[in-house]
Amino acid sequence: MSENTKDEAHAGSFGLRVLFISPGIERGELAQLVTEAVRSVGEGIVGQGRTLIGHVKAFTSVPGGSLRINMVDLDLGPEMEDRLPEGAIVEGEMRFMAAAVGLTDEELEQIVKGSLEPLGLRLEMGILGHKHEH
Amino acid sequence: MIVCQLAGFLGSGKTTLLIRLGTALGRTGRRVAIIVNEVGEVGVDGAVIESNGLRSVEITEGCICCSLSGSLQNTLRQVSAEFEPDMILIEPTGLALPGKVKQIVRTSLIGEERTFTICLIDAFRASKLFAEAGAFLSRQVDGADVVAINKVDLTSLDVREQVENIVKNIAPCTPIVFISAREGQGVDELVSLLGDA
Repeated sequence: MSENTKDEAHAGSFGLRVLFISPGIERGELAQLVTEAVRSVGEGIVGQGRTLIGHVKAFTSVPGGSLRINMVDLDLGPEMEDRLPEGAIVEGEMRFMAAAVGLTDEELEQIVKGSLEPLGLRLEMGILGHKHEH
Repeated sequence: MIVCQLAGFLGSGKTTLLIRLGTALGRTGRRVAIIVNEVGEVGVDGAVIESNGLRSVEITEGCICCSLSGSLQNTLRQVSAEFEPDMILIEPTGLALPGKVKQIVRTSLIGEERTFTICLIDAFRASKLFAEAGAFLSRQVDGADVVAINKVDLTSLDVREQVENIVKNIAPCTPIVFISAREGQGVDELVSLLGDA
């Protein structure tokens, strides 16, 4: 199997796994922060002069709940499945993944990392892993 | 044992449909195994699937239709031997070609009764996607046993008809099902098709 379909589709991808702690962030604020990060990735892709032909997604797991956010179209915006628990959230894990046609892995890495910066203002984050490959 | 793959481009709704199908098939008493692969190595889909009460095996660090074809074969052999499922659901990456995945399944020699390929098309973005990446999407549609036109809850009847015509031009004889994986619409029809497979 010598054919690489990622190359064939001229697509790039970047994924990131982050652990976070917080003195206590409300579910609504956390959901908004992650949603804005996902939206920002989409805007970053379009900002490179590209149509968003791909997928941006995030999954946050915290004790007692989770938050799933998907975005495939800027006009449609991020779709959210919010199962976060009530009350202050003090720790959790986030996974972000972006894949898009017409961008390189490195370009997507730059966009994703830049989009996560606002999260760092409210959460103490530690990046566990980031990978590019197909 | 049936091996069913849920093919489709990035963001077409594969994971959402997989959760629907896995849950529905589980309710009918079938033993279902799930293998998931995605374009980024840091898996999001496996975590999403598990958060819905389903167990899955994630294949990372490549694509199962090309660079990780050997990993898919090994995983298929391991899952079929250890779990003895009635059905294996495979979610390839959005950049995988279903024809190649089908070929890899066949050469895995796991004794499947048949393979079944559902190709999802995102109705909401179809015109844009086919304009930008039409040749690639056509290769995904070609060879599917059924095409599921997804996200019909977000589209008008006119748009559905346009998407149906695009699909019919590529694969005139392939059955088409209109679904909303998010809302659950049309999922029973797919479960029936799988039951008949």
